[in-house]
Order: sequence, then structure tokens, then C-alpha cells
Amino acid sequence: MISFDLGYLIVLPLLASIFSLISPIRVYIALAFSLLSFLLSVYSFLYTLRDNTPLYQWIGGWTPPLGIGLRLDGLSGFFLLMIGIVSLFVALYSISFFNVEYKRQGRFFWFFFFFLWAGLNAFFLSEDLFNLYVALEVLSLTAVILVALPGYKKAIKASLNYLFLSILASMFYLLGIAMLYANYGVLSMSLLSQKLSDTQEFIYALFPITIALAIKSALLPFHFWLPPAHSSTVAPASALLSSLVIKPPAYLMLRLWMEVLPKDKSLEYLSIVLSIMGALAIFIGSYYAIRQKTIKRLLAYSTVAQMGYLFIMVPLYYHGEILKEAVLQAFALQVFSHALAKASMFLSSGNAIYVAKRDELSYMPGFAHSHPFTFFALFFSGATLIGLPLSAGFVAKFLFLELSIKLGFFLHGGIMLLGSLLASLYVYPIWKECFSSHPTKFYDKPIPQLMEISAFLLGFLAFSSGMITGFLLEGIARG
Amino acid sequence: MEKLAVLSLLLSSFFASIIISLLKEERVFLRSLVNVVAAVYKLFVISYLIWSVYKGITFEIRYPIVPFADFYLRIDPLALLFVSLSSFLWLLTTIYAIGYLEGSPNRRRFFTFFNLAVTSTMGIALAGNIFTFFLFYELLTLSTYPLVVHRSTSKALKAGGIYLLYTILGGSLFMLCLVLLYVFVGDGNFYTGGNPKVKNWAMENSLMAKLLFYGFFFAMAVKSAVFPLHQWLTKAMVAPAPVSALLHAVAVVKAGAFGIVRLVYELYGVDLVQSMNLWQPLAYLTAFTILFGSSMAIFQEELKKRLAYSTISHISYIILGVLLPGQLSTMGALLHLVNHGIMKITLFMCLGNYAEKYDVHKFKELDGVGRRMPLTTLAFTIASLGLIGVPMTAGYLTKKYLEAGAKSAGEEWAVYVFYISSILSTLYLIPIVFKAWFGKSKEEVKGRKLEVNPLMLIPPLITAFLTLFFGIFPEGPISPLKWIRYIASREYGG
Amino acid sequence: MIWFYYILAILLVIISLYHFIVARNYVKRLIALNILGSGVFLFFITTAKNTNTESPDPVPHALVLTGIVVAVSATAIAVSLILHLNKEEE
Repeated sequence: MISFDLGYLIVLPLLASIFSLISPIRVYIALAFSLLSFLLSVYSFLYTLRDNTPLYQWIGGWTPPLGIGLRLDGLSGFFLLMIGIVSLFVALYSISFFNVEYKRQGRFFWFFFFFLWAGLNAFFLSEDLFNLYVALEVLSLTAVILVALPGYKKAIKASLNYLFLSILASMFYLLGIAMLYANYGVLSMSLLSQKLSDTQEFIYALFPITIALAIKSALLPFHFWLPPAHSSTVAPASALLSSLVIKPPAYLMLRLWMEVLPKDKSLEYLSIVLSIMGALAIFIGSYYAIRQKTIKRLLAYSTVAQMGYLFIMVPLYYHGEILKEAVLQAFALQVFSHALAKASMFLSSGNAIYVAKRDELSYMPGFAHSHPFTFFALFFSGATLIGLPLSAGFVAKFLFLELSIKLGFFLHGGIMLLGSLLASLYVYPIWKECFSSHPTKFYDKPIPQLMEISAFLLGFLAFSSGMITGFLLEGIARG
Repeated sequence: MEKLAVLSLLLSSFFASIIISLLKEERVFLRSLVNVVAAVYKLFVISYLIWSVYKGITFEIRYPIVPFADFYLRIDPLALLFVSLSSFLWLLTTIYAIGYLEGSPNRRRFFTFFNLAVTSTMGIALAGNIFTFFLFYELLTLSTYPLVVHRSTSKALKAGGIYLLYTILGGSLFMLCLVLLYVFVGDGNFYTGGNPKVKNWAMENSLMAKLLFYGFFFAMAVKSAVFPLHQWLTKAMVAPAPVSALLHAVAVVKAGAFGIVRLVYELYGVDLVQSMNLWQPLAYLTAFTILFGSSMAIFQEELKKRLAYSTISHISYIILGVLLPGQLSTMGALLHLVNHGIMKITLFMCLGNYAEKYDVHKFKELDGVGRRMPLTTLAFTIASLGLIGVPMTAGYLTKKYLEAGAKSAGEEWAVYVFYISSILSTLYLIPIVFKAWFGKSKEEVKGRKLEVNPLMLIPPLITAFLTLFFGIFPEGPISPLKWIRYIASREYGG
Repeated sequence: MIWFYYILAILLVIISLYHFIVARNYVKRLIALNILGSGVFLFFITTAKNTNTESPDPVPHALVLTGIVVAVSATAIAVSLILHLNKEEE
């Protein structure tokens, strides 16, 4: 396969965001560039399958420690694919969505949509801690604006809170980097991991960085910004936020614990604390999700719960040197399945709100009767969230369970199984409402086909990708 | 070529499902055509497969679907038995369903998931390892949920909720056992006579092996409605008749029983189950279920519920037969798998006819309906006699083998259980027959136009006929007995 | 001697953090965040001092500049959001 300039993965969406400001051809720009970026992401993924060596590129030819490095390895390729898939379908959905609703906001949505895509790609291609910081910032700021997009008070308040916490987290992160740099003089992750095994002063740096990442990924007790933020904005934006934006900080946490940090007794306690927080996130997130009466808040709390899975596994990352590939695979697959499923559910919720003009679960249209494809979308994505076979969610949970047992963390495995049960408790009300035949629920309004199909395809993909996980995860296994 | 045949069994219904989901609601004819073509096609493929297996060709498809396990489909005699039974009954039910649901809404949705459920059943039958089995097992749950709640009444929704709850709990248990199996043993493939890796591991870790066995058993017992996990089945009777007929009398519950068959014979193996005495406590539980189901059936006013309890009882016949040591009881179990399917489906279809035509749901509403619908009631009568175990019906054959098997295993108490259950079956079935034929009805109306339309009439007549045919000619060319004898002997190392 | 700057930076962070958590007013919280940022930047810049060589380390300079840019953009967004909020309330 031909190697290519990794920078295109970032530049292409950026160009798209600029061109999307040109009003008359906006939709065509959006469509064309989404397809192009998607194809490029797919190509990158396939490229990582060719052999074992990651692709390193240094921008402008500057080498470390001064240069900015980009790296395409199995993990990045996989995540790039995930971003591409979700973004493509959200784009398709949005083309139709902004045609029928929120027309004013549709003018600027695309600019931030592509900016977000660029930031996401940049994040997963980054090699050193500072580049990651910049990418995280791009993500957060763009996400903040996406939250504020609708323009009403609720959204702006949610957006402001999100922004404040995001800035706070960023500052802490920067502080942590500064501490690391002060002691070790390097920022590239691979170099850091070597140096850290020598001395112990990194611990001070670790606290602000961990707190920063916890805030950004909505880990208990820093999760309270997420439900308002993800539920107050338009459906496509919620989809992007819950499925994509929230994942990079968790990924960074994984990389830190697995590659950078040395095995140390004191860190043991921190990893336990993190996993307890993850378990609590599962329980509390699910509990609140079950109690919600509005669809979007339900889904937002579900995200909190699902993110908990990633953190409960921290001790596994930490002790998982022997089974490193397996741990990475499980993590990646959980992120992937949740991303596709949650995006599909949010898009479907957009359909529900479009028809019913209201957000409450009890007013949700009886999709099973009136709009079968939206029902199918909710059906398949819900099954993925719960972790039913054949979905990718099931395989992810299976992998996690297997790892828990192999490494002796039985409690963690049990909590994960419990989490699946809890998930079924909040997915089921959605399904139930799809079947209810109360007269006012047979809303006749037809949903634009593109909106229905894109939500459905995403959900179906989430479900059926369980069959090809061997293929998907191959790149990660190779490194 | 062979691989294609195996795949096409699955894919035929899968594509049918997709095509139907895309067809508009009004395209009734096209939809029925797709349904029937898919069902008939499957029967052709199965005939080809039977012929080929007879000549000694094996079929399998295997590929690593996830990092730790293979997706494994395989044709073996046991799979073939279940696949043939399901496909044949599916064809009949499809025809019946087309007739039954005529004019009712949401048929598109119904048949989409109907075909998805068929696909899942095919997968369950063809699964070559317990992981693939589990995949399709859960898919079956998922695809049958919309069928259970099809009517969308609040009762239906509640029933659906309970159904999901039970199966998801069972599914979680299954998944846990699955992970443990793969972590400790690394291999979940089905082998005739038992998986050697499992056997070796069980020798060293008998406690863990015991727990795992019970875990798997109970996970599958949920679907097979063994006491005390049987509640969902009675509630699920709120589904339309074709669903109750096929799914909950045949496909879903049989999938659970089939799973137990695979577990005992091809994962753990008979010798292991005997030597570790895994079967005895479970045998008592299933025996209790047999009697429990039959007894509860007597008191049910609602006819479908009566049959639901009967199913609970009869599935445990199969499981008890599996658990009892010895080739004869195995044959009895597999025979009952086939025969009960045929007989129970007849009963459900007849009840569906009564409900559709005369709105008869309860026992007291039966008065004289037999005189108005003689053919339906004839089918019902024959099937009832079969279930009770009257000679010359297929049911008698089953009873013979089960009782002989119990005796030869030295477990005479089981013979009494079967015997008592027969009496109880008489008590809940014969009154229905009597009331239908001889009950006094308010309006005496005679005439031929009073039966249901042919689509709903012919399938139960066919299955009733088969009940007699298999009973009168057990060693005949088409009877399942020979096939089952072959399967049983293989599992015992013959 | 250099420790003075580190301690000052940490102090700034702690004070502004306290005010960020406690203050009700959005503008106050924004200002607190900015001061927190300044504290972090100060910390970072202080690491640029090399006791042995003449010229300071340029890397932290570059990084802090980037940080300032990000902070300013974020502040701009925050201000516009707050303004919009105020408009809504009337």
C-alpha cells in the first residue's frame, strides 16, 4: 500500500470547515468532504493492517524534542476508522436534519463539525503529550460551541459549565506536563516511559493529569457537567459528543497507565481508586439513566455509565503487561461499540423529537408501528449497549470478562456483567415506548429518509460489527 | 458447494427477513411469496444435506470471528434432525400465520422478525461450538421479543418485559459460564461423545466443572421453562397464535432443550456426566417440573395457558430423558423433541382457529365448537391422544422409550413420573375434547362454511396426520426413529 | 531562589481554584480561571531556567505561548456565551 502524508487526515476536514462557510454549496461541500475524509480514514485503517510497523512522520522534518510527530499504528488506525464511520453517518443525518430544523444553526454547524473531525484525527495521530494537549483543546472548544448551538438558555448554561470545567481540566493537564518537563525534560511518550522508570518524582505530576483527564471524560465525581451538556443540544451534536468527544481523554488515561507509568506500589492505590470510581460510575450512571423521563438525559447518563467500564479496567491496564494486546483490544472494541451505538441512539432520539416535538419518553412515537426503521435503529443500538450478541458490545464485554478472570480481577468482571443488566433496565423503556399504541403516539409525520436511514445503518453496523471483530482488531494485535 | 449449502440455510431466512422489511405493508402477496419460497427452499437444501450426510460427506464452516473463539457451523446428524424439524414446522407455521394474520396490521414487522427468528433457530441447530450456539441463542431472544409484544396491548408489553428479563438474566449467566469455559479450557467445540479437552480439565477441577455444568444448565433451563424459571412462558401466551405455536411450543423452548442435549452429550459427554453424577439432582428437578406442569394445566381456564403448562411439563420429559443414563432414554428424549413439536404445534394451531373464528379463549367457551369445526377438532383430538400417549400415536412411542430407558437405568421412579403425567395429561386434555364435541352450545348452527380458511386448516391436519403416521409406522422409511437411533448410538460410542 | 516562582505559581493556582469553586458569578469564575492559567504558565516558564547554561530553554516558551493562545480563545468563547446569556435573560 502506498504511504501517504498523515497530515491530510487533519488538513482535509479543516479545509472542509473553511469551505463550508460558503453558503450556496454548503451541503455539497459537507457531503463531498465527509465522504473523502471517511475514505481516507478507511484507507488509513487498512494501511495499518499491512504489517507491524507503525508509520511515523515528523512535520517539517523537525525531529524530537523540537518537532511535532504524527504516528499511525494499529490503535490509531482503528480509532480513525471509528471516527470516520460515526462522522460520516452523523454528517448524512445532519444534511437532512438541518434542512428541516434549526436552519439558522445549520449554517455554522458544518464549520464546527469538520473542525471537530480534524481535532479528533489529530488527537489519535499525536505522538507527544503536548500535541495531545492541543488536540484536546480543539476538541473541547469545538464541543463547547456545539453544545451552545441551539441558542436557548438551557444550552448556553450547559455550554458555559462545560467550558469552565474544560478550561480547568486543561490547566491542570498543563500543570502536570510542566511538572513532568521540569523533572525529565522530555514530552514524547516513548521517551518518558524510559525516563520514568528511573526516578519517582512523577507522582506529583500524575495527580493533576489524572484529575484533568477524569474531568474531561466525566468520571465520577466529575461527571455532573455531562448530562446537561449532552442533552441540551441538537441530536447530531449530542451524537458526536457522547460517542466521540468523550473518548480521547479516556484513551489517554489508558496510554499513560499502560505505556508511560512504571509499576510502582503507590500507583497501585491510585489505580484502585480509579477503578472504584469507574464502578460507581456504572452504578450511579445506570441508576440515574433508569430514572430519567426524557430520552436525551437518559442517553447522557448512559454515557456516564458506559465510560465507567473503561475506568473500572484501570488495574487491568496497569497489570496487563503480559496480555497487553488483549487489554488494548478490549478497550478499543468497547469504545467502538459504544460510539456507534450511542450515536445511533442519539440520532434516533432526534427523529423522535422531530416527530413528537417533545423530549419525554412517554411522548415518544410508537416507532414500531409508524416508523419501523427508526425502531430497528433503536433496537440494534440498544442491543449493542446492553451487550447482546452478535454486537460488538458483546464481544467487548466478553473480552473484558475474559481478561478479568485471567488476571484474577473477579469482582471487576462481576460488576461489568451487572452493568449489562442495568443497561437493559434503561434500554427496555425505550423499546417499550416504541411498541405502545396509545392513539397520540401514532404520529403520522414522516421522517426524512436520510435521517432514518443513517440512524438505522449506524445501529445496524454497531450490531453486526460483532461478526468481524477479528478483522477489526487485527491491526491492534499487531501493534 | 457444501459450505454454500450450510450458509444458505441461514441466509435464506435472513435475506427473506431483509426483503420483507423493505417491502411496503400492502404488498401482501409478495411478502407471502417470499416467506413460502424461503421456507420451501430450506427444505430442498435439507433434503440435499440429508442425502449427502448419508453418503458420508461432512459440512462445516469455521472462521475466527473474535480473538478467542471461532464462528463454527457444522452439519452433524443431531443438527440435521433439529434443522429438519424446525424447517418443516416452520413451513407449516408460515402458511398458518399468513392465514391467521390476514387483515391485521403490522404484518411487515411481524414477518421480518419471524424470519429473523428462523435464522436464529437454524444457527442454533448448526452451531458447532457453544460460543456460536450462544450467539444465535441470544439472537433468538432478540428476534422473538417483537413477536411476543406484537399486539402492543399493555398485557403484551408486560409479558414482553418479563420475557426479556428472564432471558437476559439467563443470557448473563450463560455468558459468564462461557467466559469461564474459554478461560479454563480454551475450547468449546462440540464433539460426538464429549469434548476431550473439557473432560481432561474436569478431571482435575471437578468442583469448577460441576459449577460450570449447573451454570450452563440453568442458563438454558430458562429458555426451556424448567421450574422455577417457567413463569415467562405462561405470560408469553399473549402473543398471536402462530407465535405461541411455533416459537413457544417448538422453537424457543426446544432451543433450550437442544442446548442441554449438546451440553450433556457433546460438550461434557455421557461418561463425564455419569461419573461426576451431574445428572441426578437435575433429574429430580425436571421430574418435579413434569408433574408441576401437568398439574397446573388442569386448573387453567384459559386454553392457551393450559397448553403453556403442558409445554413446561413436556419439555422436561425431553430433559429428563437426556439426563437419565442409557441409550434408550436418549432415544426417548430425542423422539419427544420431534414428536412433541409436531403434536403441540397442532394443538396451538387448533386453538388459534377457535380463537379466530369463534373468539374462544377460555374453557367454558368451548361448547360444541367441535360440531362447527369438525376438522380442526379432529386434529386437536388426535394430537391430544398423542400427547397423552395413546397407542398408535407418536406419543406412545416416546413414552415407551422413555419408560424403557428409565427402567434400564435403574431409575424406576421416573417410570412412575411419566405414568402419572400421562394421567394428568388426560385430565387436562380430554375435557377439552369432550366439551368441544359434546358440549351444549347456545346456537346450533350447522354448515360447512364454518371452518376456518384452508391456510389455517391444512397445517394442523398435516401435523395431526403425522402424529398418527409416526405412531403406526415407527420403523417406516420416513420415520425419525431410525435417525434418532443412529444419533443416540453415536453419542454412546457406537 | 527559583523556588520562589514555583511556590508563587502554586499559590496562584490554589487561590484561583478556591474562587472558581466558590464564586457564583460567571465573570468572577472566568477571571479565576484566567488567573489559574497564569499560575500554570508561570510554573511552566520557570522550568525554562537553566542554572548551568546562559540561554533559557526555548521549549517551555513555545508551549506556554500555545497555552496562552488557547486560554485566550477559550476566554473569548466564554465571554460571548456569558453575554448571550445576559441578553436571553432580558
